[in-house]
Amino acid sequence: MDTRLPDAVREAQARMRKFVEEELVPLEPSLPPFANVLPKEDASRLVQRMRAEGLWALAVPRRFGGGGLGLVGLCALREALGHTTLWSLAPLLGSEPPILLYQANEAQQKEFLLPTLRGERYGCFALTEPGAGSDAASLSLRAEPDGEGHYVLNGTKIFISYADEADYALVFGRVPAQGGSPGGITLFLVDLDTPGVRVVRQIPTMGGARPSEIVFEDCRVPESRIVGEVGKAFELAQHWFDCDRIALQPPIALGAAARCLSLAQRHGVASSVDIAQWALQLDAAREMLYHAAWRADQDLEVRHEAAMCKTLATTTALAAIDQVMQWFGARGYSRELPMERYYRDLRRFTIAAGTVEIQQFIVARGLIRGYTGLGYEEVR
Amino acid sequence: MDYRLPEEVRLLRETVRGFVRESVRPLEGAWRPGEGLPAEVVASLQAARRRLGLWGLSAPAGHGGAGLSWLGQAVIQEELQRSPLGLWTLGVFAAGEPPFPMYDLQGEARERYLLPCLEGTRQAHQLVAPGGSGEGNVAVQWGPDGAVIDGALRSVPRVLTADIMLLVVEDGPDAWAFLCDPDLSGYRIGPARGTMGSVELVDLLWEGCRIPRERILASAGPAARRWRAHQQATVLAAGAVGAAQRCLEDALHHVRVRETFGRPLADRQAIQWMLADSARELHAARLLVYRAASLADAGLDAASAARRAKVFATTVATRIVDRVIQMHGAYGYSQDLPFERFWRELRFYAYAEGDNRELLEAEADGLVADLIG
Repeated sequence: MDTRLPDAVREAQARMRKFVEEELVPLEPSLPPFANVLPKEDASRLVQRMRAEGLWALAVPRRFGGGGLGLVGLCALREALGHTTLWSLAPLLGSEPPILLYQANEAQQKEFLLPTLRGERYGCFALTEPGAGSDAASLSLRAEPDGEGHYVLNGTKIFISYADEADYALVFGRVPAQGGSPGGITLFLVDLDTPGVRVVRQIPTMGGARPSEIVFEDCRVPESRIVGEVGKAFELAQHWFDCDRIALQPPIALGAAARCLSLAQRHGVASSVDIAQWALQLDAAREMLYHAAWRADQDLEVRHEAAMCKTLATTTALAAIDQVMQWFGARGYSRELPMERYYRDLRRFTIAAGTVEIQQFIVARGLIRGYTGLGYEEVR
Repeated sequence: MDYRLPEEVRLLRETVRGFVRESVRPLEGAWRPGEGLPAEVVASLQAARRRLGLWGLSAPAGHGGAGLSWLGQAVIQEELQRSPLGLWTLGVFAAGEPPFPMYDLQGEARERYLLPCLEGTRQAHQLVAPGGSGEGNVAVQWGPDGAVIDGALRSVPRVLTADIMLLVVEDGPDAWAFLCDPDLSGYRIGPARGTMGSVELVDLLWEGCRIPRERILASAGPAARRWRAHQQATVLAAGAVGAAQRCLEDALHHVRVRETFGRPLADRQAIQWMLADSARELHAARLLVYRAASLADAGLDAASAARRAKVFATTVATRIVDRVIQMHGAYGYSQDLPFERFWRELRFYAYAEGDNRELLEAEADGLVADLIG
């Protein structure tokens, strides 16, 4: 057994940290408190430097021209990215495309995945609906075949992150049963300039995120844009959901909380035992994170591990950041220190991409029904 | 990076699990509340250990040991401590496992102390104290044929059968170890005081206590520190994980069959939350134990990882057992079921081999540095 990160991952993480310290942290004070995009001139310079230093697409599989560092590598890079409050600003995210696209067919990869990797296109993920959040499988966006090789989409998606920056979306819709086909929830790749698609509004939040509402009205999508098979979207996406629960929020949360704790330590605002209490929780969350990511990289089932990892990392980091804010008193609440921005942005981590309550439910249900055990490697 | 348990460790786990199920758990009823473990139960367990080769697990190869990895030892302790009879505080499974510094004993002292400890007829407990004068310190004066020590250590836990104290006195980065046998003149063990669990607390006093050279080990620091890390990670933390796992498994069974208002407890979200919280904490604790053990097995310094594993695992274990008591209602609180006993014994793990708060204090800088990267 060896629980240490591989050297290549450590080295990449150190380079990312350097990039974050040199380029992003200095930009923090100059941006407005609700910024969610970088100024254009900064954005192109940063993307150029990321490419030049080999930080672009490091975790993308080698067969697509990436660095092949896997989910473990993606987590390590995002943990380093969490050391700036600007972690969520859009241009940086193009470097690691939606993992689900790796399962698209060759034509779809050519049209969506590869341009995304080149930084020319950018995708968002449209699952949530006004009537279907945690219970995503109850979604109602209709996708009806017109009998001429197209599907007609009607419905509304809501809280879709980065829809304002994106030019295509991965859309989950319900195909009605018809003839001999049972239909079911199906995944479509939709260009956002297709007639019948409208991003109707951006929803302000307490953080920088401004997720969008997207309305589909008689939007015709060719059947060649179906990823996988009709009715099989959740089977296709389940592993991807799990991987996202591991790699999207927990590493950012850990990087952010680590930065805040180290500030508390440097400024001597809390006793070392108090700091260590929190740091130990984060250390445990980090161990859980890389264990789950490693399992995903081995193509092992990670449903249970992802749920536990997301819960522990996001709730602990959020509570730790709140604690550091408290230790600092009024300064902690002020915009002179990063805690308030982190807190506002990270508050959505326990809600988005599966609330922590849903994660608790997944774990408890698994245990009670006997899908999963409590022991090591019996966790299935 | 590889989180798989090696095949031989998995096989070992199966063997020990079977042993605990068939040979240890049936004896649990013989340990009555408020009483010590009957001698015949101890004898029967020791005989079974020898038969299965679960003896001298920590002994280095060349001293009759199997040269077993720390990971293997941690997994064994997880399984053993699934029974209250396997808990560290009872000392049954500590027999035959002398602290690492004792392997450096030579000549007569080796015959007199190391071999009986390996044999299991005597048992030694390592105790670490800072050098110097004052309360809680031990002063050492060197003479031509040994040392004279003076000092007092209060409320030292005494685990069931340990009769030899291996007193490690730290002197800067290094340490001296003194074998304190009750036969020494000027060495006094105060009256035992009871606790809520099986350990007793004693005061140890040294007044002009002359210790002959052959019972003194020089340069004992590294071995003593390694033993401490070994006890923290592979015995206390791993054991706490195993104990919590057992209790949680019992709870999982209980909530499926016990009904309230016409539905099983398992249907209640309040219960589901307790299960999910416990499973998560248990998983994290186990990962920290395996990290510490695998670092040691790779020949790296595992002291820090062992402290972290110990603090985390012992803290969450009592919390998990407490939830298990809650899920079982009044039965859980009663002595009909083993949970209250697990709780009382495990509570001491937070003090053993370093008070958890002191260990945290020692880890503060390292933890933040590691998180920062």
